[in-house]
Order: sequence, then structure tokens, then C-alpha cells
Amino acid sequence: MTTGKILAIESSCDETAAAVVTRDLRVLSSVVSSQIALHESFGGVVPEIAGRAHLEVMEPVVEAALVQAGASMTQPDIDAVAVTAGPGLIGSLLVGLSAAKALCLAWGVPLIAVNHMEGHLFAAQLENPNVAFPAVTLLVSGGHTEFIEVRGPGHYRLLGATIDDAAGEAYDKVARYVGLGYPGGPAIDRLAQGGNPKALKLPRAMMGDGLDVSFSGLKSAVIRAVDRDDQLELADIAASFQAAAVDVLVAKAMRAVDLVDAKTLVLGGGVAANSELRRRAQEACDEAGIACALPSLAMCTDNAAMIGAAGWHRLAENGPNDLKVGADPSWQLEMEVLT
Amino acid sequence: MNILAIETATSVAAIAISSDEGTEEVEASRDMHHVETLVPCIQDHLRQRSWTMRDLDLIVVDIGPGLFTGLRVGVSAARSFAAALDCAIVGVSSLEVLARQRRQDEDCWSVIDARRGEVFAQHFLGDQAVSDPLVLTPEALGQLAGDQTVLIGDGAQRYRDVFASMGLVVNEDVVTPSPACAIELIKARQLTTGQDLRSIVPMYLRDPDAVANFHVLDRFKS
Ligand SMILES: [Zn+2]
Repeated sequence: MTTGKILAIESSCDETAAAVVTRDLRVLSSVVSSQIALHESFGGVVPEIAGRAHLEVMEPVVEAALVQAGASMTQPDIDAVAVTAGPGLIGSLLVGLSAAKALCLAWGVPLIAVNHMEGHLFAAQLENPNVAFPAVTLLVSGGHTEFIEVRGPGHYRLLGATIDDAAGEAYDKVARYVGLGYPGGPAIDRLAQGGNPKALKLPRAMMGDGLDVSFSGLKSAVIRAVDRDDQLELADIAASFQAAAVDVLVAKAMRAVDLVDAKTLVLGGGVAANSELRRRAQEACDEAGIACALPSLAMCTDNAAMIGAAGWHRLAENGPNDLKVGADPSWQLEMEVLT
Repeated sequence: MNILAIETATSVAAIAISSDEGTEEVEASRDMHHVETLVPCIQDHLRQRSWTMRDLDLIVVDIGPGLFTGLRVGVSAARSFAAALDCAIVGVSSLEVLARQRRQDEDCWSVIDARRGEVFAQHFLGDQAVSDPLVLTPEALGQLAGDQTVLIGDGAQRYRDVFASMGLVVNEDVVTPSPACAIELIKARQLTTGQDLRSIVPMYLRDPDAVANFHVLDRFKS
């Protein structure tokens, strides 16, 4: 089987997604239904609202992915179903996993349970098939800030991570505090374009040592500065916060690159869509003479194509899963830890 | 007509498979293991009959009210089956299925545990629902229910002492909705041609927590 196709399903947080991905990692379709509008007024993802929304759009999203790939629900023309089984919100994961199992039984194809994080690590592969290893992947989103050495598909080592807030979480909290709404990342990014990044004196935490990062102090410093001076320009707040966050992320990423002698720096996760982070990462990689893999915005945020890519790898490594497999909201991707 | 019924409204997951030869009901699991056990249970029992999913003509699914995570597992699977097989699907109410399971009581309240100190309940006289499905405390239900009625379901049993102290009778035989009864109900109501797939969603009766507790989010402000 050289031309196989996987239908992939993702529903771990607030995007309902399905995709069809070939064995040689061509994306035949990738459909994402975002719930951002549903959660906006609450300033963050509400698990019960997410679970309800996934259920209503799951089957239409799967159908759309099949149709875009030239197939249909009753003639799916696929060889397996890959689905995110964790980590994520349990009420959301269950919807995708239950749908995937039912489809596997109805179509008589195997099931592959995929770790959402591994999906993010494979996202770069879809657009940059020639990523040179070892690579360092900086995974940054509302739930994650991790520096991971990727020696090849399936071979990961955790080099560093946030010790408190995820980078995306800090963006959301700062945005909410200054009244920019949810999600905070795009709003801050846009405003920062016209602001002075040196307007506020903000800390760069833990710059001196190791590969771990901390964003809770930065967030608090911004809030204190805003409380002290209500004349501050929003654009200056955004630009100063963004400069501090990106300084830390890029400096640590390049330290990780040095440590493992990486040939490529890969960005992934929702915050990898941030224009300043992309610009500065590219700049730092050019200077260091290594490749910088910047996935398209659609590949940075949650999608099912990346789950399909990871699914092919899991199928080759471990074979299919039993239909009894459960969802694990805190499933840790198997990684060596830097000691 | 070959029918599969899916029941996940309580902590018990169960299925029933029915053909012209009769109906067989199987419990897949207790204690909220719906996502692990529901589809494998269906697989096993189709195999025993040497059937495939393609032999099914109708999917019946309990849409609640009941435990949200359980309902989502059942409804998500049922909708995917129906779409993949292009087969008819119909939703039934857990409270109506329970009411059908009583054997002789004319006047009854179906009562399902809604957790957090509340129950989902609905009043039936004979085959007729005479109230809307409600979510309320056992005490409030006790005041609503007349002393001629019988309370049935896992919610009735869980709050048996509350109801007993108010002079109400709890049926001890019927605990959770029976998928075999769900099939009977669908046949009796001649609903076997099915409904629009996308109209099949759980009956929640409760707003999501966050909508009710919007102010709680303020604590994330700093
Ligand atoms: Zn993600």
C-alpha cells in the first residue's frame, strides 16, 4: 500500500477539525471549524460549551473533509482513522474519539490514537518535508511553551518548558486585562505594530539560566504598570509586552539550538502565528546559519492534518489501536527529559 | 427490520440489537466507561450474529436528559454510524424510555440523577407525558409529585430517603433506561423511518456551567 489515505479527526480544545492525509504526507483536505466566537464573551475556552459545539459540527466537518478529498461518508476511500486521544479537554476529546471509533466500525478500518502534541511536532513536516534533523521545535500555544529536540519522527527530548503560564496564556491574560478581548494573541500582535517596545520596562525572567521559561512575572509586571499609569498607550503596552515575551522565547530557542547542535528551528502552536516571533526567529536562525521552519498560520493552530501525519507515523511504529482505547486528558507524549 | 439502540444517558452504557427474531440487550459497562466500551460492545455483538454494521436499518439513540459526557459519547457514535452507513437514526428521551419500563403504575415520574444535588424528571399518566422534562432538586420534585404517583429511575433510588420522608413510593426494579425498551417505544410510535441526522443532539436542560457562573472567570484577571 503506497497510496493509502488516513482520515484524521481533532477535537481536543476549541477547534473541530478533520483532514485526509496520504501516506506520503500530502494533505488532500483539511477542514477546521473554530469555536472562537462561542467562547469570546467568556474570555477563554469554556469546556462544556466546547463539548456541545464539537458534537454538533463533528459529523458535518468529517463529511466536508471527505468530500474535499473526492470521497464521501458512505464511500470514504480511506485506510484508517486517526484521532486525537489526548491531551485536551475530556468532554471535547470524547466527541472525536467516539465518532472515530464508530466510523472505524462502520467502514471496517483500523483506529489510530494520536497524541495532540505529537501532531504539533509533525505539523512542520507537512509543509517542510525536508526538515534537517536534529531540529529544535518551539511549541507555543495557550496550553504549551516547550522546547523539544526532535532527532527524527518519534524521537523527542524535552529540553525546557514554562514553569508557570504558557506564552499564549500570558497573551490572553494581558489582552483581557487591557480590554482587548479573546483570543489575545492576534489583538496584541496587531496593536504592537504601531507601539514603542521600549515604553514599559518589563522583566525578561530566567534569561540567565537553563532552558525553562516563566511568563507569570511578565504578565504581573504589565498589569502593575497599567495600574500605575492609566495614560499608557495600548499600542505601547502591547509592543512592550510582546518584545519581552519574544526576547525570552527566541533567546531560549537559540540556546536550545546551540545545546543540541540543531540544524533547524521549527515553530509550532498557535503563538507561532505571531508576526514578531516569526520575524525574530527567522533573524536569529539566519545569523546562526541554520534553517528556520515557519509553518503557515493554518498549520500553527490546531488542525487535523497534523494528526493525520502523526497518525501515519504511529501506525508504522505501533500498529493500530484497539477500539477499547480511552481518552486521556493529560496524556504525556513520551519524551526523554534533559538531565 | 434490524435496529441498534444505544444507551449512554446514565453511568451505565448499554446496547440492544433487534431483528425479526427478537431483541437482545447487553450492558457494555458501568461507572462511566462509555467511550471505552460502547463501540467494542457493538462490534462483539454484531460478530456473534455474523452481522456487519451494514445489516442495520435503524439506529436508536437515547438523547437524554442525563449525564452530559455519557450522552455525548452515545450521540457522537450514533450520528457517525448513521452518516457512514446512510442509515436512519432516531433520538428518544431517557425519561420516556424509563416511563415505558414501568409495568403497572399508571401515574409515574421518571427520575434520572443529574448530579450536583438535582434530578431530571418528567411526569407521565399512562403513555402520556403530562409535564415537560424538568431539572430540579429532589425536595422540589417531592413537593410537585402527588402521593398517588410512583418514582422510577436511578435518581429516584439515589434520593430514596428524601422521597420516603415525603411519603412517596419509589419503584425498586427499574434503575436505568433500557435500550430494548427504547426500540419498543420507537416501534409503538411508528418512528422507524428516522429523523434528520443533524437534529439529533442531547437534551441538556441545563446551561453550561460558565454561562451560569460567568463572574467566576474574573478570578483569572490577574
Ligand atoms: Zn494544540
